[in-house]
Amino acid sequence: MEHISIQATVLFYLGPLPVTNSIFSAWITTAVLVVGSFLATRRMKLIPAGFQNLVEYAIELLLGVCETTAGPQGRKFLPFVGTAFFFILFSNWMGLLPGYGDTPWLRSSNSDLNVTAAMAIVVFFLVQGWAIKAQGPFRYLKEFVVPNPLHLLSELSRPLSLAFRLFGNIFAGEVLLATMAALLPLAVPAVFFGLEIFVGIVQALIFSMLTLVFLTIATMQHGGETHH
Amino acid sequence: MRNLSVWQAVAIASQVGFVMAAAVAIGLFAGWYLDSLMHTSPVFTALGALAGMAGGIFSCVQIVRDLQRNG
Repeated sequence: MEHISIQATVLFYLGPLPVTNSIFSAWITTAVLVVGSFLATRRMKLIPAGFQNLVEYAIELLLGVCETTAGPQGRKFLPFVGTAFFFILFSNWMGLLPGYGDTPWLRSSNSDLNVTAAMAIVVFFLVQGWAIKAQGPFRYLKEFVVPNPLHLLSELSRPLSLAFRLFGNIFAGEVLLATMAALLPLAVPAVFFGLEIFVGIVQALIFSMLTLVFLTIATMQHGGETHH
Repeated sequence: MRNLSVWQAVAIASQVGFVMAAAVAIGLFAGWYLDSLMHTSPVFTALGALAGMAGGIFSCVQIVRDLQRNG
């Protein structure tokens, strides 16, 4: 049975910073996304075909969701929400490829709490930044006292839940696959691979949708209308 | 409320369970830290857990309420 550990393996150091296999895998995912974006936009046509068509379809779906939730300002959130979605989706799916988990260099990025916590912290500060920009610093600070002092606890619990949900689901998937491969190596793991492909896209959707919801709420005027 | 997609509804529903646990964990940790500073165990730990539960419920209600107001 392959070795599974919660802690990521340190591969090398960049100055004082340890580079773990989960970070290295995140770099590979980033590189795949960058190359994919380059290929999709290299020869843009007014009537898209092939790969450009596929990518435009995915982006338009996400744009539709953003605008349905946040109204016209949803377009402003698309770059971040879309990037988070594609990064998480490709990290999860690439983690199912042969080599991930078997070699010390590769590990599904989101099966390391440090990666998911880093993304949740980025979302937390982004949401606070948008809230300050939309409401003004005085009104923003007032929210923490009036109407409810539990607001602070509520705000702090969001990144924690974002980080642990993604990490928990992906790490549990890795453990499940390794256990099934050890117990019943014939055919049965394939079913669980199918399940993990589904979990991968669901978790990417949940993280990005919650980010969108938090951003929408943060930029909302509490009189009832949104900032446009 | 604006027409939430199925996946947004799933995301919000999954947030309920996680945010409850996360808020209680934060409340417990803050209470435990205060207790260890002031040697008042278990007063602040218990209060922190209670505040965490209330904060978790508040957070869930807030998301749905704000989205309704937004729509």
